[in-house]
Amino acid sequence: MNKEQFLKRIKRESGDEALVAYYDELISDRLDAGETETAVIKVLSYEFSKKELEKESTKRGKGKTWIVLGALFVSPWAAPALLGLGIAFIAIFLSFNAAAFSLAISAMAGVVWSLIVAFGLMGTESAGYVLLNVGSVLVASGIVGIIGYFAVKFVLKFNVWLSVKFFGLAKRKKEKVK
Amino acid sequence: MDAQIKKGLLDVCVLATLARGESYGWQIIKDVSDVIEISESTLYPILKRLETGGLLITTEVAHNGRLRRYFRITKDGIARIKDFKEEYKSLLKIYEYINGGINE
Repeated sequence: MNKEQFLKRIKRESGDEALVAYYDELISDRLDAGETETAVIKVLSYEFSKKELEKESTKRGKGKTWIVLGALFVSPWAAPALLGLGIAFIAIFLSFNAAAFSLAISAMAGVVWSLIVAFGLMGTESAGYVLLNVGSVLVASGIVGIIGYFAVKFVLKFNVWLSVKFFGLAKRKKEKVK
Repeated sequence: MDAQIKKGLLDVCVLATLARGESYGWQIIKDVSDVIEISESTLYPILKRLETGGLLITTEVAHNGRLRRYFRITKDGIARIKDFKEEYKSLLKIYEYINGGINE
């Protein structure tokens, strides 16, 4: 690329006449100083491309922000919808945790209750009656306990997934490994 | 050097070069490059910003059968350098504080 082609490129890509004049002068000064046209154009072309790429990347970043902000301000339902989604998300998280842990607690409470019942009935009722009552509570607690175990396991995984997805814990973990 | 710190320093460095006497693009790059890295593509927006802010003025002078653009610092430009020198005192305090944290 020679000087003329380079200046045409600047004009085409920037549309700024003052910038063309600036580069025109710079090239002339460097050529007057004894540098070769090829070397000067090579350096300036690289610098110019780098700057344009930086501008483009900044524009893209700003563009995304403006799209989100624009959507929030322009659309009357965007802000309430975003708020609703946020609340729903928090509600799902809390209810998952509450449900899983209440199942586990219910199972434990069932075992304790069956022991209280057993002690209360012993001596006043027949052994068969005590066993039937305590046994049924224990079986029910066991079923709830198994469901609770899987529920807690699932919720703990869900919590870890959430932390990784939204708070970048995985990134920190990877950095530590490095 | 951190890009944000450099950005602030470059403006003042260009003004300081012009405070030594009027100059043109290529000469400014050569002078400023002695103390801080600056490229051709970086200088243009700085000059444009300083000119828009009234910190420098330009004149075109004939040179080797072409026009060369000369930049001259204004009173506001000198005031900007003075402001920077005042800001530098605060910066120096911060630097000493940071430096002390490492030595202690």
